[in-house]
Amino acid sequence: MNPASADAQEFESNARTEPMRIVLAGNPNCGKTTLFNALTGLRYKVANYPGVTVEKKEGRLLLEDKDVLLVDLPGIYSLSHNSLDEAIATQALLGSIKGEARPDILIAVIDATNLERNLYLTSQLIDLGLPLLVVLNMSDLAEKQGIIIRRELLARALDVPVVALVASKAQGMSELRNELTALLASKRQSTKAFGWLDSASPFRRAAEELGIKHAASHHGSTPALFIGSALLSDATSAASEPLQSEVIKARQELLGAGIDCVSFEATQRYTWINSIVKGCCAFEPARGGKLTAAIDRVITHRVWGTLVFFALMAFIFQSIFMWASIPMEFIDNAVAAFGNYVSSFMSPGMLRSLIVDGIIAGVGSVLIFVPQIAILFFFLGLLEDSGYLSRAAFLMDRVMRQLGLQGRSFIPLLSSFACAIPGILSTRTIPSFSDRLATILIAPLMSCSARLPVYTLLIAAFVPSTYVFGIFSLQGLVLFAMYVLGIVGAALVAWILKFTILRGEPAVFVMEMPPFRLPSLLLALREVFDRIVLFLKSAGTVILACSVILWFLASYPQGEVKQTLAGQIGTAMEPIIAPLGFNWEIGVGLLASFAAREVFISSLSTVYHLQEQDSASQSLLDVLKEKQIDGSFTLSTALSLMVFYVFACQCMSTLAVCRRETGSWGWTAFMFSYMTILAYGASYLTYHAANYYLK
Amino acid sequence: MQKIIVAVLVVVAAVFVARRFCGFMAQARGNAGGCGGHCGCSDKSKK
Repeated sequence: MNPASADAQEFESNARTEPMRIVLAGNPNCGKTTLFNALTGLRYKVANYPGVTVEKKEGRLLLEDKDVLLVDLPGIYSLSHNSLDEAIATQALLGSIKGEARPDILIAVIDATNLERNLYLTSQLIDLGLPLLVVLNMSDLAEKQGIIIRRELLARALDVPVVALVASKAQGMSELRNELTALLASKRQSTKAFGWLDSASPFRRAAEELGIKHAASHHGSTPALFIGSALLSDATSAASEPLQSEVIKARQELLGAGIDCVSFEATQRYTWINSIVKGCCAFEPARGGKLTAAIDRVITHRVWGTLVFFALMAFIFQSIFMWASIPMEFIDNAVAAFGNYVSSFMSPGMLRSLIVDGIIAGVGSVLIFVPQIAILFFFLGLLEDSGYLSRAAFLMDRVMRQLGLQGRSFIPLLSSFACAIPGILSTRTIPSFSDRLATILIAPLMSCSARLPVYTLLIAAFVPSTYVFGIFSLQGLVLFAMYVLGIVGAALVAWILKFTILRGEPAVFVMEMPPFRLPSLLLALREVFDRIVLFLKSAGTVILACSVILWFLASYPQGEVKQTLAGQIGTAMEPIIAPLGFNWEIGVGLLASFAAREVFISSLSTVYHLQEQDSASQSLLDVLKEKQIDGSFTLSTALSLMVFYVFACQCMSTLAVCRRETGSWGWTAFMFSYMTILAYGASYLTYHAANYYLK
Repeated sequence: MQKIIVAVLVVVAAVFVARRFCGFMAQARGNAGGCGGHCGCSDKSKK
């Protein structure tokens, strides 16, 4: 038995033990994950721009008591791939991932507003010879745009069941479930496989010959004609000799017969697709297209578009301060009252100190930032759903190219404002390794939501609550400045990297503009809810645990807090951090915030509460204001500290994901080192400049 | 009694933080899929 067939047998036996696999495939931003969520009840992230899903995701689905595995893949335009996320999708569809079964059923998700382009991938999926079901998603939008698809004609032309639905509103789901159940039972394959390829074509003969020779090395049962056709269309897909020579020879022979293999398949497929679209589609005059075009002209304009972008960002940061103050005050008072209540019925001792000074002061000081997190994610949710972010990426392509990057880097960087981890993961959509690496290395410079509580605490405590030009809150402007500083820092680092160690021409940026739509309030509120739950979970786990440990370190050996273990650690750090204006208490906070940045606040709160034994009713904000009055914590220190947080890579999880995505501890160490040096330098300059100018 | 409760709480917290650190290392080595649930994308699947 040869090794290939042994592998194939092992593969088949694995397949039999697994549940049925239904795989969702489609172009980017056609609504695959929305459909996946609607079918499985899971809540994976969705947004109105391409490239949100970069990994294969799995969920369970019950179809008439049958447990089925539903797989969601990153979006692809065809079964040839350039980037890592496309490779993941293609391999899963071809069943070439070792140890993973070939799909039992494919669902081709089609954006009904763009039928012709979406049918290209569908035609390839039909050729794979698997039972296939076509889903026309966003059929409501297509109808609004005057696109009438006669789905019974489309079903006949493709010889597969076609279901029209609106996944975001869960419309048409019962019909989809029924069709899926029927298809699972019948396992019927389309008779239109290779309908685009004439049976007498020399291309077909050559493809079949090549495919049969190459099929043995393929896992699963991909049709030989499909393999041969792919080899002829892209000679580079034949990795080894002698196959590569055979492919080149066949291509030359076909060229002699007037067939250019590079373009033949695409041309033939589109000819076939055009005839289908003509037969089953009718177009009424579009409605609402003019308004979208007019909006696009403004927001993608070099000057107006940039102004709109900065105005939007400024508005969001102003809102974070202005709208959050009342609920924050409420939570602050509630935490203080709870601390007092607990103090009043517990007798003094180490347990009361742990609960009041450690847990309530530590966790409570972080909880008050829930309203600000909610406001930030509410606006991000609205922007993501509206389709604006793709326009912003287009707008930023010019800037990105000047930095040696490409517009495709913009979405990962923008995602990093929420958290650097999904930002780093979404760099998988970038085909060029040097561009991808540069984007990974600068993504953590975008101020993530974990930095927000640190900024807002320091701003609220030290920056006067006044207005500039009567309309702009100074506190909001300082917050905005911190975000801009991160962006400017990232731009400079990208520029240096791309013109030194990561040289390379930026690739041409092609990105599909999703349609503009009124953002869903429900979706935005759901995003807010998820984020609040996550934040509270973090407060109840890692922040709580760190507060307990910090309390212990700051309480023993008993005596002055500075003489405790935490005090000694902080004092040991002081010579290094004193030039930045930081004292030992801040040093302890900086070290603790490696577990999570928010822990900085809880550790500062715990240390200060232990120092001021009668301050149970005082919030950290009030303690800091008092420190400003007595001069032990100044505005210069606060600004220096904020700048340090803008640039420093104090996130273990980011470092872990960087290692995973780059596959190198070297690049991870480089990222940590350059960010720490940058943070130290920028913080030093800020502290001394602020001391000079603010005196 | 207070001493015992405090000691237990501190040890539990220390174990929790140590496990979190181990989780980061697993993530770095590629043994944890997605973002490990850190960013709220609800992806906690194993690779």
